This record gives sequence, C-alpha cells and structure tokens, in this order.
Amino acid sequence: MRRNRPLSTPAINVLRALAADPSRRRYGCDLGAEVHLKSGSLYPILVRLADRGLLEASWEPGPEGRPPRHLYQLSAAGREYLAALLPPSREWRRTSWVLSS
Amino acid sequence: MGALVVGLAVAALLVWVARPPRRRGVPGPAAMAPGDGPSRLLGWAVGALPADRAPWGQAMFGELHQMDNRRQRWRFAVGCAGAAVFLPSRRADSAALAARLVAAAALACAGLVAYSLAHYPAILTRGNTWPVLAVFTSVLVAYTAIAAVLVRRGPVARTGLVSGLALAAVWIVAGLPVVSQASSPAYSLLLLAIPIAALTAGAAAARRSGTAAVRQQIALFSALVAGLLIFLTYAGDILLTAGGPYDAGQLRDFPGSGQPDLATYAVNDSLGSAMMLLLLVPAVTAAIASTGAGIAARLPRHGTSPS
Repeated sequence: MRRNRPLSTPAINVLRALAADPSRRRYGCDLGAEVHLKSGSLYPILVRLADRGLLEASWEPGPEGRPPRHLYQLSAAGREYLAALLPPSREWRRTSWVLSS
Repeated sequence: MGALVVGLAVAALLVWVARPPRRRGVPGPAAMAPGDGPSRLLGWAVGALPADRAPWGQAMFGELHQMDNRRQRWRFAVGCAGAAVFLPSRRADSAALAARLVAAAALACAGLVAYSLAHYPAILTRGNTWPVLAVFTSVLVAYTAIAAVLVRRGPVARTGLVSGLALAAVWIVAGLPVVSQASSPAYSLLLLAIPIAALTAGAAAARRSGTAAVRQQIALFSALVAGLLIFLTYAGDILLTAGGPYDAGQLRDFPGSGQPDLATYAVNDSLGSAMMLLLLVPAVTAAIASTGAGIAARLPRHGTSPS
C-alpha cells in the first residue's frame, strides 16, 4: 500500500494558487510563474497532486500545428485537503485577496 | 582494442535503449518538435518517461511550444528534462523492486570479483588485469542502467525476471555438463536447450504484450538477468573450487603463466571466461529471444489477428 506523505510547501502553494479561483483552469506555465516554481520543480509537483487526486488535468486542443495544452483545476479532494490544513499565512491571504478582487 | 570494442557495443546498446519510443495514442516527440535544441532535449528526456507518464511529456511539449524566447525555452526544457528523467512510474513498486534486484545482482558480481582479487592478489600483477576490470565495471554499470530504463518504460519487470531466471537455469543445467564433459557428443546435444529456451522466453514475452517495443524490452531485460545470474553462479563456483577441476590445458599452460600457483592461474583464467560469458550470454539470449518474440507475434492467436 502506498503511503500518502504530507505535501511539501511548494505543493501546497500550487493548491492554494488553484484555490484562489477554483472555477478557472490554469496552464502549467502560468501556475509556475505565479508560485515562483521552475519547470523542473513544478511538473513533479503537478504529477504528485494529480496522482493523489487533488487536482484535475484536462486537455485544450492546440491551434493549427501546435500540440494540445494541459489545463489544471483543483478537484473536490483538493478543496477538502486545503480546508483541512491550517489557515494560510497572512501574506498568502493578502495575495489571494488581491488576485480574487 | 578489445576494451574499446566492448565499450562501443555497450554505448550503442545504451543509446538504443534510451531512444525515444513511439507510443500509440500519444503524438511522438518528433511529431511535436519544431527541431530546435530545447525541443530535441525535451524529446529525448520525454522518451525516457515511463509509459504511464507519457501524457505528462506531451503536456511539457504543449507548454514549450507557447514560448518564443530562446533563453526561456532552454530553461524550461532543461527543467522538464531533469523532471522527466527522475519521474517515477505509477507502477513504482514492481518496477523499483526489479531495478533494485538487478542492481543487487550487479553488486554481488563485483563483490565476487573483489573477493577473488583479495584472495588471489597475484592476479593484479598481470598487465591486462586493470583494463579488464575497468571494462567489467563499465558493463555492470551499463547493465544496471539499462535495466532501470527498461523497467521504467513498460511492464517488463515480472515477465522479464521470471524469463531471466528460467534462462539462467537452462544455461547452467545445459552448459555445465558440456564444459565438464566436452568430449562427449551426447552432452553437446544439451546445448540445443539454450536457443530453444531463449526462443520460448521470447514467445512468452509475445504472449504478454501486444507491442513490438515491449516484447523487445522483455527479451533484453530477461537476457540481462540471465547474464548476471550465470556470472554469479560461475564465479561462485570458481571461488568455491579454487578454479578446479583443472583441465589438461591449464596444467600444460600454468608453468609459463608466471603465476605463483596453479589455483591463482586457474581462478584468473576461469574468471576471464566468466566475464566473457557476462557479455556473450545477454547478447546471444537477447537476439534469440527477440527473434522468438517476433515469430510468436506473427502466429495467429485464438480470436485475434496477427500483430
């Protein structure tokens, strides 16, 4: 049986960035820029979160001659996971408030 | 010269194993890449992804294609390549176990040779010992790396391990009487069991998988396992018997060998043969097993058309 280890801080930051607007689907690049993660750190986190069912990935067909893009959205399990965590720091609440307003 | 040939052969095998595979249902990296450096780098790294992670490789390509800045493309591709190389498969349990077993077998092979060198230190005084040891170590590292890549690529671990064990058993049961009773033609017939077993292993791989790539990977993985197990058995036997029983050729050549005693000479001689087998067995077995898998894949199955 696979153990579910606690998520790292960057992984929780990714979940929180997605939770800022749960209805919005996000591209990997945008998400990485928002939480200040480079591709080498971002993709292993996205894979781990998707494996644990905390985010949902879907495909957006690419324009002519370009490959499709992955879009990410917080899942119901991801929302429950975040709700069970301690409240986010004041700095993150402020960022989240600025983004949502 | 021999070391160079072996090195080139192992390097070619590594390149062949690490080449990006074509996967059904997922556009291949070549189809998505415009052909610049970052795309080629990402294409190679995505090729090393486990089969169940292929969509993530496609997702990385999707983002790379949105970037126009060359520096940004390089940074993104390098990061993704690092992530792809180390991204574990979802079937991590069986794959990781198989990779660890192969690594442990390779380590045991190195340990046996190290023990024999400690027990018979005069072997180290021979001029060609160090180059041979360098090649031997490179081969073990390469086999471990190839096995790790193969188990990440597809469902090869269980079938490959079972086939490898069976092949090693056949090589040992059929090969040892031939070595000890070389003059008897009846024993030579036993050698036929080796290609038959390899063909059967290939056919078993074909029954387990519908794709040619996975069949080849199972054949190669089982051949590596067989090669390592045969070396372990042969080298263990050499150490237990001090290279004996000594044949007429060894007794004849020993006085001119410069070795201090017959046991050192025989252990040195037999370990050299075991190292040759470590190269020969996987190469021969993989070739025959791949042929067997190809033949079995063309045979019609009940209720299916030949693939």
